[in-house]
Amino acid sequence: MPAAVSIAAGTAAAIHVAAIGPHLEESRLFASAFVAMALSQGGWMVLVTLAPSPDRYRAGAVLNGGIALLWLLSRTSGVPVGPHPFAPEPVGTMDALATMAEVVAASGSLALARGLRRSGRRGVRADVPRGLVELGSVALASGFVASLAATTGPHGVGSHACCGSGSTGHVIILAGMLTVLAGVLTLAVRGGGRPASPARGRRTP
Amino acid sequence: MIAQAPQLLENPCCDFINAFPWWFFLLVHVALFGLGAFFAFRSFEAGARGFGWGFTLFALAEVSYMTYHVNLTQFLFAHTVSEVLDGLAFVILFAASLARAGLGALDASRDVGGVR
Repeated sequence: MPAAVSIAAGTAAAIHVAAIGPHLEESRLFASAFVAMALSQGGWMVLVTLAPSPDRYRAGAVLNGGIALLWLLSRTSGVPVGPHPFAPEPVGTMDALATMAEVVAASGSLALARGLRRSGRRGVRADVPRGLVELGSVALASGFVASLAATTGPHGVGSHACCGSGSTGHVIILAGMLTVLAGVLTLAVRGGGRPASPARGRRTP
Repeated sequence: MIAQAPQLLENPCCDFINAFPWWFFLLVHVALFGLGAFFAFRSFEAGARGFGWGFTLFALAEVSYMTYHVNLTQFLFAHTVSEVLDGLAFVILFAASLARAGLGALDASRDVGGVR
């Protein structure tokens, strides 16, 4: 569940990053809003992956739920600012997927906050190598989903590289790979992980 | 005559590969990277540094493949670097396996010597 919530928020952040360029042509205000949404969702994803807590999950529910409501407003009555005030925008595949991811992140965050509060735990802070590996894995999954959402149609002959907004997801995958490797190398430099436990079944005298 | 011969990259064989969707190739690289990084992490955790570095190089080779997919490098460059890294990983994993097998044999002979 924590991984699914982090991946959902990461996917929404990745799609918002991909939407910055197209919105910049339309309005600087909209582009700035997408930068803010991507940074806040991405930053929140990093925080709850490395050090989850009930307060952080509650904040994530408000953040992701609020952005989902803003999307609903923009598709029904239209937002009151921008080049076309109160003009509803059409529903697209990418923005619908981002909103679905935000709903998953918001509802999952509420459930996780409640679960942590009931169990009396304040959350567990991961150690550095494991935290980096978990964070990178979340970025890998988020980037892959964002890549699938952003690109349609077959690739060109002789090239499996992606193009357009899909490359945002690919860059996030690359960043995820490098983060995972950073975790692995941190562990390598430390010279090992947990102390070796006695083998199962072996009796000590 | 040579000038008229089919040039490199114009070979008609195996064009079916272009029918695969782009995400399939991406999925393969992500899955292989995940496998390599996981094995490397567990190897370092267990103190098996040779295996750890071998699997790390394998994971790094997948990163090199990805640099092509994000349009950072040329196809041949990314694939050449990846194959060199894979080759080094292969050698290190072989050496680590031999070292481990050798140590196991040494321990076994010591045990036998102790009994005698």
